[in-house]
Amino acid sequence: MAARMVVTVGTRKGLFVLEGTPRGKKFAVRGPFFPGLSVNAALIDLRASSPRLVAAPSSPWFGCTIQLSTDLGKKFKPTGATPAFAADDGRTLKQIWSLAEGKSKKEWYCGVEPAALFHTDDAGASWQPVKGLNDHAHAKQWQPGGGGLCLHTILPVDGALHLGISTGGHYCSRDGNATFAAENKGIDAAFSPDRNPEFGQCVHKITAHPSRPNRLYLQNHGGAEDRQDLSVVRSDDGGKTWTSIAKGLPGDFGFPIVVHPHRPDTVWVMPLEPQTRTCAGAKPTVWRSDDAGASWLPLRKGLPKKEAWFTVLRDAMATDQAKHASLWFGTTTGQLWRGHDGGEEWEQVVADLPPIHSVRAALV
Amino acid sequence: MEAPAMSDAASNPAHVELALPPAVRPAVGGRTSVTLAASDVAGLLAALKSTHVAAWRMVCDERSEPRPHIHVFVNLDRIQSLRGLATPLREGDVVTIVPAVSGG
Repeated sequence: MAARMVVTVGTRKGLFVLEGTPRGKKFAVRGPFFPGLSVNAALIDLRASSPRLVAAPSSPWFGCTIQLSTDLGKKFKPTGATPAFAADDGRTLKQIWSLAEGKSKKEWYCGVEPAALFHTDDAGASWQPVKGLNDHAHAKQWQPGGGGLCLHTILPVDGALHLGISTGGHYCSRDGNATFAAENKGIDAAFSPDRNPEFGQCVHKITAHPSRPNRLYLQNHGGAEDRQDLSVVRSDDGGKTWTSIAKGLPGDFGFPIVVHPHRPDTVWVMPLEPQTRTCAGAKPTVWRSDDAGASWLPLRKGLPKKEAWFTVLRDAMATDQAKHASLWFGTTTGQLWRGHDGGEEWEQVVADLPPIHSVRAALV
Repeated sequence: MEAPAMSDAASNPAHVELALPPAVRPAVGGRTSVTLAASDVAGLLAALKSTHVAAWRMVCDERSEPRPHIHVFVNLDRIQSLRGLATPLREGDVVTIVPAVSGG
C-alpha cells in the first residue's frame, strides 16, 4: 500500500483523524470520535507491525479513558484500564495531558492533571503510577498554571526521562524513573518573587532530537517586564543548565516548541504576545532556527497577513517524519495549517473544527 | 414509614433501580437502568463497581465518590439533602445518576 499521511487533531469537542497522500492537498476527515469530549493528547505509534493511534479523551462528567485504534482511526476501543490514583492517595484524576512511547512496543507513558505520571507495559491493559515522580517531595508545592496543574511533556531521551510540569518545571530521571531531580537552572520564573527557584517554573513545552540526547529545547512562560529574551532556552548538558536562545524573536511568550525529525539543529516556535496569546500584530508567524537557536527566520508565506487572533497551544504543533518534513499546527479557532518543507509555504488543510488542543502527523 | 436501622438494612439489602444517563448506558449493554441490591447509596455504587466496573468508573472517582459533575438522586431528592452516600435505600427506590447541566 502506498504511503499515507495521517494526522490526528485533538479538539475541545473530540478527535478528528485526517488521511491523505503524503503531499496531497485533500484529506479524508474522520470524526469526531468521542464527541463532546476534550482530547488534549494523542499519539501515532509506528513501532508495531501496524500503526496504532492512541487518544486520551477527558470528560468533566465521566472521567478519562485511553482509546486505541489499529485501523488508522476508523474505530477506537478503550484500553483495559485508565491511569488512576490509589483510593487513599487523596488526588483524583482530572484530565489527561500527554502520551508518549516507552522503551518496548507495549510501553506508553501518560501525563495527567493533577501533575503525575503513569506507565503501562502491556499496551494499556494496566497502568502503574511512577512513584518517583508522583510521590516526589515537591509535588504538594506545585501550583496550577492557567491550564491546570498538568504534566504535559514526557520526553524519553537516551535512557533519561525528561518531564515538563506547569507549574513545576523540568524534572529528569536518569535511574529508570526511581527518582526525579528538578533541573531548572537558567529557566526564569518571571511571575514569581524568586526568579530562579529550584522548581516551580511555568515550563510550557520541551523537545529534543534523539541524536543529540544532551541538547534540549524548552519553551518557557516568559512574559517578564524587564527582559524579552527569557521565553526560549536550550540546554547542552542534558537539562542540568539552560541558556536563552530567544534573541531575535518578536514576543517573549509561547506554547509549542518542535524539533526537526532529521536535523537536530532545526527547531520551530511560535512567539506570542503575553496578554493576548496571539502573534505580534495579529499576524501569525512561525519562527525557525537552523542553528540551534543562534538565529531565527520568520515563516509566514501563505498564513493570514493580519487580524488573525488565534492561539496555538502547546501540543498543537508537530512535524511528520517525511524526508522533506512538514510542520503542522492547529489553532484555537479550529484551523489546521501545514507548512511544507519545514514551513517554507503554508496551506490551510481544514477549517472550522472546534478549538484544537493537539496535533500529531505521521507517514504510515 | 420509619427508615430501617442500618444494621437491619445491611442484613436486608433492597432491590433498587439505578437509572443511568445516555453516556453511561453503553457500559451496561445499552440498558437505561440496572437493578442492584444495596442498603444505602454507597453500597449501591459498590454494587455497580462489582457488576459493571466500566460504568462505575464513569460515575465515581478513585475515592469511590461521585465525580464532581455527577449528581445522585434517590427518587426525587439529591442525596446532599438526605444523608449523602449513607442515605438508606428501600425496596423499590429509584436512584438516578444525573450529569450536571454544564459545558459549552
